[in-house]
Amino acid sequence: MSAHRFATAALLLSVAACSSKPAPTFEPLKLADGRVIPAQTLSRGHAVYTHYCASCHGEQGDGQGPAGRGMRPVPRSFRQGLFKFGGVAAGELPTDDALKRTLRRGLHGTPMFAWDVPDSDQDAVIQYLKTFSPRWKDEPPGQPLSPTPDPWKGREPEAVERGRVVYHVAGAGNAGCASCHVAYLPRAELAALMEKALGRKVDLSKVDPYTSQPRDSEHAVAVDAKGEPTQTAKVLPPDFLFHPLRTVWPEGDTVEGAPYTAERQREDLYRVIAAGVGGAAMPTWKGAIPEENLWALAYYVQSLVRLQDTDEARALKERLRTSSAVQ
Amino acid sequence: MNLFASDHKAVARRYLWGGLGFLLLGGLLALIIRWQWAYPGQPVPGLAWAMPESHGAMTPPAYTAVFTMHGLIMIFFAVTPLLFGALGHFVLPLSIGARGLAFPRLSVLGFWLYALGGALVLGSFAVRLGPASAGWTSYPPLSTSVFTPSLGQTLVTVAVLCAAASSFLYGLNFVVTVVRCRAPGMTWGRLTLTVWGLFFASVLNVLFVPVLAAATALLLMDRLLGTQFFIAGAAAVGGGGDPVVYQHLFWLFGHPEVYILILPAWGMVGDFVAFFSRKPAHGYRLTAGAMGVVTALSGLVYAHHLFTSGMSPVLGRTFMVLTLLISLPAEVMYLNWLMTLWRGSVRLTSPMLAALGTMVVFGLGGITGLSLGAVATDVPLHGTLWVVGHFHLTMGAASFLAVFAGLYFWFPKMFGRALHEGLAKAHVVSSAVLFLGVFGGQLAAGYAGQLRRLYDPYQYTYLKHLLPLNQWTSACAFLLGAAQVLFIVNLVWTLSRGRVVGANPWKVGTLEWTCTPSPPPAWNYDPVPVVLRGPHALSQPEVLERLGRDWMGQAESFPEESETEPGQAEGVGGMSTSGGAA
Repeated sequence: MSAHRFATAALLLSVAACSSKPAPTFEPLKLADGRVIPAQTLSRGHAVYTHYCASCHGEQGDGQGPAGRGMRPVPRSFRQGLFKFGGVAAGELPTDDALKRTLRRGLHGTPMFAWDVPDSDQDAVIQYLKTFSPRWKDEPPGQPLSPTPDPWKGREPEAVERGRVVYHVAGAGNAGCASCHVAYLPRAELAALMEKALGRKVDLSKVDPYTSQPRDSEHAVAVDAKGEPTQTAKVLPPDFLFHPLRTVWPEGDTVEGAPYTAERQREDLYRVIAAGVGGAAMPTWKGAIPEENLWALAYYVQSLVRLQDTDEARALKERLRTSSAVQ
Repeated sequence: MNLFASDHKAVARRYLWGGLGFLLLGGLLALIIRWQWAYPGQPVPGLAWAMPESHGAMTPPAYTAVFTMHGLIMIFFAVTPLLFGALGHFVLPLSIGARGLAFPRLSVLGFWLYALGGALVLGSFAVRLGPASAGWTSYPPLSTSVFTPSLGQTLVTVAVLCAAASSFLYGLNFVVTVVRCRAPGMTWGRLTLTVWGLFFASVLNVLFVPVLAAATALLLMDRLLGTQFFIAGAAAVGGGGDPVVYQHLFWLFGHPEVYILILPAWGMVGDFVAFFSRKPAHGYRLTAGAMGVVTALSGLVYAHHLFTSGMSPVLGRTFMVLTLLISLPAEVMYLNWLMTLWRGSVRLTSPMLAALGTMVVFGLGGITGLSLGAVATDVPLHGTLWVVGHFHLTMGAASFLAVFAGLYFWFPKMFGRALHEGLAKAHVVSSAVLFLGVFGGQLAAGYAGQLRRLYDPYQYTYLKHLLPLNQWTSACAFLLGAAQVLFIVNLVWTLSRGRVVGANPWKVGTLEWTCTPSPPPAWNYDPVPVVLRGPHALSQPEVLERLGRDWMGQAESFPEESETEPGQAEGVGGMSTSGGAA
C-alpha cells in the first residue's frame, strides 16, 4: 500500500472520529449581582458537569438525564432556578455557599453523592449551573440566612420542651409544624399541650394529625422539549421518626471529613427550618417566629431524629396509632 | 530504515518497539490505579502537570479513564501485538522453513493500521474531557455519547477497530502461511508447538475478531450517526436497541481472545520445557490436539461472562458445563509439560525460567477460574476483584511472562546479540514472584468482597479494613514496575554492546537455529531446508553416539559413517531411522 493512500485512509478515519460532539463555546456570563463569570470557568464547569452531573441532571440541566429516570426524588431541574436547600428565604436564588455545601455533602438518602471534586472544579460547576436558568441574569441571590448564636446552649431539655410546643401548636409565636408533618403526641397529650399554650380548649375530634398529607411542589418531574415543566408532583413532608432528612446525617458520621457532632446536626436543622425548602410547601420560618423558637424547633426535631431505628420510636409510633384509633 | 519494508522480520521488529512502548504506558497506568487504591485521593507523585485542578490527585473521571485505558492498551496494543505482531511475525515463517509470510504487504498494512490505532489512543489523552472511560469492554450505555461524551472515547473506539482489523489481517496471513508455505518435509506433525499455538490462535483471530469489529462499528454508529443498536434499552423505553446484545457480541470475541493470547504462550511453554529439559516433548500429539480442542471449545464458552446479566438459567447451565469442560485439555497439556520436565536435564536459562513462571501463574489463574465458570460461585464473585486477580494471572501475568520467554529465547536470532542472562533471570524471577504478590493480593481482596472499578473502596465501611492489604498489593506492584528497569537496562545495553552470538546459542534443532545465521538474511533460507524430523530431537542415544551432542537439526541428515557405505538411510520420518547400522 502506498504511503499517500494510507495517509488518506488515516485522515478519513480521523475525520470520522472527530465528527462527534463539538466542544461548546461560551460567552462570559453576567450575573445580576454584578459578577462576570469568565468563559474559561464556564467551559471548565461544563466539562465537570458533563463528567459528574449530566447523567442524572441531563445535558440541558432539565433533570431528565438517562440515569435519573425512575429516581424518586427526581434529579433537580436547574432550568427553573428553584433550589430546595438554598440557604436563603425559600423561592430566592441560592447562595454559592449553599450550592457548594450540597455539592460537597450530597443529599442524604438520595443518589446525590458527596462529590469529592477539587475545589476549583466545584466553583466552576456551580457557576456553570447558572447558565441553565435566565433568573441568574435578572435576580441577585437572596441574603444568606446564617445561624444565629444558639440561645439554648447547655439547656437542652428545656429547649426540647419548648420545641415540642412550637412544633405542635399553631399561632402565638409557634410554627404548628404538625399540620403538615405528623404529630408525635397522643391525642390527649396533644389536646392538653394546646390548651396550655393557647389558653383555650381545642377540638381535635375531627382532625387526623397522625397522617402526613402530600403537599404541592413546584419541582418538575417531566418537561417538554424546551425543558419547561409539564408535570409536577406532590411531595410528602418527612416523618422524622422514619425518613432520612436530606441535609442531616446520623450523629457520628463523617461529613466533609469531620465528625458530625450534635451541634453540627442542630445547625443543619436550624438552617432548613429557618430558610424553608425552595419550591416546596415548607415556608421560610426565619422572622415568622421568634429566633429562640426556631432554635427550640431544631432541638426538638433533633430529639426525634435521634429516635430513628430505636425501640422507643417503635413504641411511640404504636402509642400514636392506638390513640388515633380510639377516636 | 524503510518503514514500509515488507520483510516479516522488519515488521516484527516494528511491532516489538510499538508493543514494548505500549506495555510501558499500560504498566504506568496500572501503577496509577494501584496508587489510588493504596492512597485514595492523594496526589500521584509527578502527575501535577497533567491534573492541575486536583494537584495531581485522581478524580473519579480521571480514575475511570486510567483503568479503561490500562486494560484497553494492554490487551489491544501491548500483549497481542507483542505475541503475534512481534514474536509471531518473526518466528512463524522461520519455524516452518518459509521464505516469508504468504502476504507480505498485508502484514505491512496490518502494522500501519495498528500504528494508526496506537496514534489515536495516544491522541485521545490530549483531547477535551479526556480519553475513553467506559471500561475496556466499552459496554453501552456507559460507552454511549451520553455517559462518555468525550471525543477521546470515539477516538479510542476507532483505535480498537484499527487494532481489530490489524489482528484479523495477521491472523489470516498466519493461517495461510502455515497451510501453504511450509518447507518440504515440514509435515503437520513436525511443526513446533509454538507454531501450533500461533496457528490455532490465528484461526480464532480470523473467526472472532470480526465479531468485535462488528460490535465496535455498530457502537461507533450509535455514537456518531444516531443509530440505536445498543443505546435505548429495549426494556426501558419499549424501543430501540438492547445494551445486552453488545455484551454477547463483545464476549463472543472477548473470551476466545483469552485463548488468542494464551495459545501461543502454551505453545512456547511446550517447546521451551522440551528444549531446556533436553528431552522430546512428552505427548507432542496430545499437546497439539489439546490446543485444538481448546480452540474448538473457546467460542462455545463465552456466555460465562454473562451469568450475572440476567441470562436464562438453562443457558447458564449449558455454558457452565462447556466452560468447565475446557479445563480438561488444559490439564492434558499441563501433564505433558510436567512429564517432559520429569527426569529431564533441566537448564534454568532465562526463557526456561519464564516458561516455568508462565506455567505457575497460568496454573493458579486457571484454578481460580473454575469458581468463575460455575454459576453458583460466579454470582457472588463476579463483581469483585477476584475476577480481576484471576484474569490478570491468566491473561496478564501468563502472557507477559510468555512474551518475555519468547523474547529472551529469540532475541539472539532477531538481533544477533544475546541479552545478559543474569539480568534476564533476575527480571523474570522477580516479575513472576511479584505478579503472584499483586494478583494474589487482588484475589484476596476480591474474596473479601472488594468490588471492581471502585474509585475509593474505603468509602464502604465493610471494605475499610482492606486498606493495608491493598497497600501491600500496591507495594508489590510498584516493585514489579521497578523490576522492569532490569529489562530496559538489559535491552539498551545489549543492543549497543551485547555479546555477539552464533547461529545456535541455545543448542536446539529447530530450523531457525540450525539452517540460517543470526540474524537471518532477507529471504530466511537459502536454499530452503528439507525437513527430516520433528522439532524436539533431543538426547537421542544414537545422536549422542554419532554426533557427540544431544541435539539434532530438523533438517540435518546423519553424516555418512564412512565413504564406503553410501547407501545409508537419510533418516526421513524422524529418529526411528536405523542410522548407519548396515
